[in-house]
Amino acid sequence: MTRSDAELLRAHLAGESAAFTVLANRYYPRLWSTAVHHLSNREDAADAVQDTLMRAHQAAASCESGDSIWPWLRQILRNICLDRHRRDRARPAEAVPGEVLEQIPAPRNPIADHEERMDVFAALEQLPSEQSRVIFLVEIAGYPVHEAAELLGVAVGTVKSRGWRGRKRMAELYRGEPPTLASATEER
Amino acid sequence: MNGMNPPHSDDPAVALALGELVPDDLDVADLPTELLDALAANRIELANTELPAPPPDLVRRWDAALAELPPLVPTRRLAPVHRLVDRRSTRWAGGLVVAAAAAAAVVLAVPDTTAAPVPATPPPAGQLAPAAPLALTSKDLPMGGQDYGPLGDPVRRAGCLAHVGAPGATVLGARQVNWAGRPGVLLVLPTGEPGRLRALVVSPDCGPGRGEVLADIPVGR
Repeated sequence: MTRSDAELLRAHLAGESAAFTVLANRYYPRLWSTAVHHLSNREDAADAVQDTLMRAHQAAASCESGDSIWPWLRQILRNICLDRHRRDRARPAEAVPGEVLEQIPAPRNPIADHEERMDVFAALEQLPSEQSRVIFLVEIAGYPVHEAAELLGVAVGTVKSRGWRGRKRMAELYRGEPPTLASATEER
Repeated sequence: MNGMNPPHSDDPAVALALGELVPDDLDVADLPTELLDALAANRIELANTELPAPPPDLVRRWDAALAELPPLVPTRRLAPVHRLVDRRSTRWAGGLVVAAAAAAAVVLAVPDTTAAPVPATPPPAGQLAPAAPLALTSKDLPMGGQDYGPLGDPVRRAGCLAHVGAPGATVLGARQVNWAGRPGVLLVLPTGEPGRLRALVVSPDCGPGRGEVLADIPVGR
């Protein structure tokens, strides 16, 4: 029988060695995709996920999440990414924008069963990365707008306007409409 | 979505369609119903979307890092240690260290970062230092000091502690030192026994899955 997040967390705190790995594996896809949208390259994102896992392993007693530990993991990841952003500001940037785009979770081998997923990701992939990052962080990862703004280093109003333009564009793509001049170039 | 009336932000269906990503000055009444319907459908799909698995090499790497961490010690067993530390934390720098020093039967010569190395040969890793002059004062033990040096990152420090066999340990103080001519970081850990501490010197590269114990010395009675 599948154990719940809370049950696995309790088992981990009781000293059961494999419990945390089972729990963490559930969140690998979500952690990975979220880290990729936080950070500028694959290696940084991979390190951030690993640091999140280790910190969560050690600090499991502090988890107060209910049915899902995602809100707790998401906050740990956010803190780690903010630390990295601060450190990076003191160093020359080594951003690899192409890698970011590669890691946006678009299905590479879409099959009929995943048509809906392909559509939503395909639409997300069509957006400028500044818009898709906002939409991912808020609508998929679940960060409040002000936290997404902090992670991206921009104002709350900018997050809202980027997100709104992206969401409108996605809706148009969904409906098979060509891009409008406004949705492609509008900047707040 | 009801097309008879202009959309209003108080309408739950409109709120669902818009979410938080809406400019403050947007006039909801101007939005066509078809757009709101598409936005709502899109938003629901985004929230329920199944994310793809990360690359297999990363999954292997993360699994391996987790596998290296020892299981947590059940909370009940740790509780007395934490209570001791909490209760005394406000006066660590004073009496307890002095009492521990007075009762110490082993040597702890903790060199200053600026001083020349003290022992000619480091004690074997994981073993007690041999008998030698006691050189332990509250100044030597960095109680409450937090000069972690290369172990400043809490994640790396936690990984280091796990690697050297002290997973989840509370660090009472830290200081960068030279130990037998080698740079290291001195970590003072509680043992759970009143008046008894553990002085652990680890190599500067200590972290998850790596690092070396340069000295591991119980201090106190």
